Amino acid sequence: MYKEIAITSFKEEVIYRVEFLVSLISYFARIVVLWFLWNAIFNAYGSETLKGFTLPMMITYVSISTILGVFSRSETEFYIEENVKTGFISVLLTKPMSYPLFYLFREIGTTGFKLLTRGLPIFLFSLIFLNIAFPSSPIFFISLILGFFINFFLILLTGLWSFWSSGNIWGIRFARNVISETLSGALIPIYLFPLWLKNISYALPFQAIYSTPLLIYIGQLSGSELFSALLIQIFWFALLGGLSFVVWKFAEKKTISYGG
Amino acid sequence: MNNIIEVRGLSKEFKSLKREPSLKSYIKTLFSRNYETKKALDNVNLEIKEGEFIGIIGPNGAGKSTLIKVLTGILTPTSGEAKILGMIPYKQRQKYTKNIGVIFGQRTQLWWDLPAKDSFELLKYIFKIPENIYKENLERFTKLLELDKYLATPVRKLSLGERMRCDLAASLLHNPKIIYLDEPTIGLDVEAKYRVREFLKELNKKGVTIILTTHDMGDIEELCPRIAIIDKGKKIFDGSINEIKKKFRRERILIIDFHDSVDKDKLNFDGVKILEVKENRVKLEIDTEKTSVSDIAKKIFSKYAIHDISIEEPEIEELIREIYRKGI
Repeated sequence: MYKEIAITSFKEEVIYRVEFLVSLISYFARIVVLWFLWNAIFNAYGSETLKGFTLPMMITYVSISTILGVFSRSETEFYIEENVKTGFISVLLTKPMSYPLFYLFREIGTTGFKLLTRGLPIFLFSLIFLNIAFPSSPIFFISLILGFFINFFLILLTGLWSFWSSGNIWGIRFARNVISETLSGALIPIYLFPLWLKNISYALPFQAIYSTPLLIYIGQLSGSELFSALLIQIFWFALLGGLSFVVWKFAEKKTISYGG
Repeated sequence: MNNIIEVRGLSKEFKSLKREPSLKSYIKTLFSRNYETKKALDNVNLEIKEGEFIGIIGPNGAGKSTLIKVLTGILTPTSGEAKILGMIPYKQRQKYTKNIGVIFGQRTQLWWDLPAKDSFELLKYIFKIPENIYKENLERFTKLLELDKYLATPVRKLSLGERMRCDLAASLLHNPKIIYLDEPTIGLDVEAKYRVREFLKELNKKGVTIILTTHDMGDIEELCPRIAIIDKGKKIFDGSINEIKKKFRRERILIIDFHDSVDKDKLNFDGVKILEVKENRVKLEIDTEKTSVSDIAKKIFSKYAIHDISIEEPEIEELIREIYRKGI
């Protein structure tokens, strides 16, 4: 049954053609801007490598990072917020299914669709025109899937905050987005951060969403480094997954004791 | 037949924060909070047998929706118990909801941007409906509710009536034993209302137990042999419409058109009040405690030539309004 939730979400995404075009353009714009930016930086720096990164590696890094940007454009929080605000949660709770799993599979459906319709064209574009590389190891895909889940759990947790804030999560969502954008390595590799910022980044789960799979993709992580990065991802996956489960149980209890 | 729903001593209290409008009081609530409790349901008992069609009515905020929420398993009562189909809804939600259909008239369960057919298809998996039953039901509902034209249209493009019909079908695909309808006819035009009502009658004939809340007395009169009235969280009446009529309105209005003009004073019978005399038409109010309509009619028929006669039933809507205002 959850598979069909994903399929239905996928179908729903197909409906929004204009949204699809506009967002595709914005992804392209981001890549082109970042291409110019890193070219300029490397030119000004006057060296072949920047803290272990060559220019082609950097271009690959930011191209793939742009594709992974589909993670951060999730609508799940918005849906949960709406469910609480409008009381639609009642309708979902009268169905024999798990609420968080319903949204997990919705997310899988929409992310699958976005990867296919945004990710694939951008990947082909970058492959042909920017000469980016293929993933250095198939472990990238494992890391990517772990990253997807960590991201989903964070979004779910933000969304579930609606149950205690009468459906008002704008502040917490904004904070999460800003931190995620800057400290996850999605925009600038964490390697280039000053040490103190690097330490903060490594203490947070956001780098496990973007930085880890990206570094594996370009072959910056190998051997024991790769192994420990994966372990950290698994740690966040388990911790945030468990936390989501517990928070949902509280949210459910609150809803059925105090009303939606 | 056995009780399919048993509700005993059900109460539900909601706490809400008490705050005066002054700034001082707002700041005070940051440190200490005063809650006031509101009783949404107050010791409600309700027994419903398999195959019954019961209407739950009451003024806005009386506790109808709270009751439906408890019965559908999405709200836990403060005290008391609900036992439905041998289960406790709010404790066994996922298992219990497989057996019921729920419609909230002001919300749709259909995916907004997709045709209703896609939502149906998904419900097939969520409720694990066997393919043959799904097909059979879909065909039956399509015919009964005349859905064939709408199934392929995105739900957002459907009118309210069309959407409600699709919603009805959606919540019944899994052959629920009980269906809960929270104001299913709200905002519908006469034709759509008629279709929905006919459909519900048909379902009830097939043995489905139906619990309906509404503000539309037409729904009640046409559909519900039994009604329960809820006010301020308490069940204040449980019985048939006729009982209400008998209990609350002893007077009947008799309108007689005489052939010739008639002397007012000659119509002075015991238990009769003359409301209006207009040319040959006389309007009488008959107190059925003291006399009967047939008695009075007989007396008049034997003395005068009558052109036409009609009896006005008390309006159910008026009765209910009186009950809401004054209580039982």
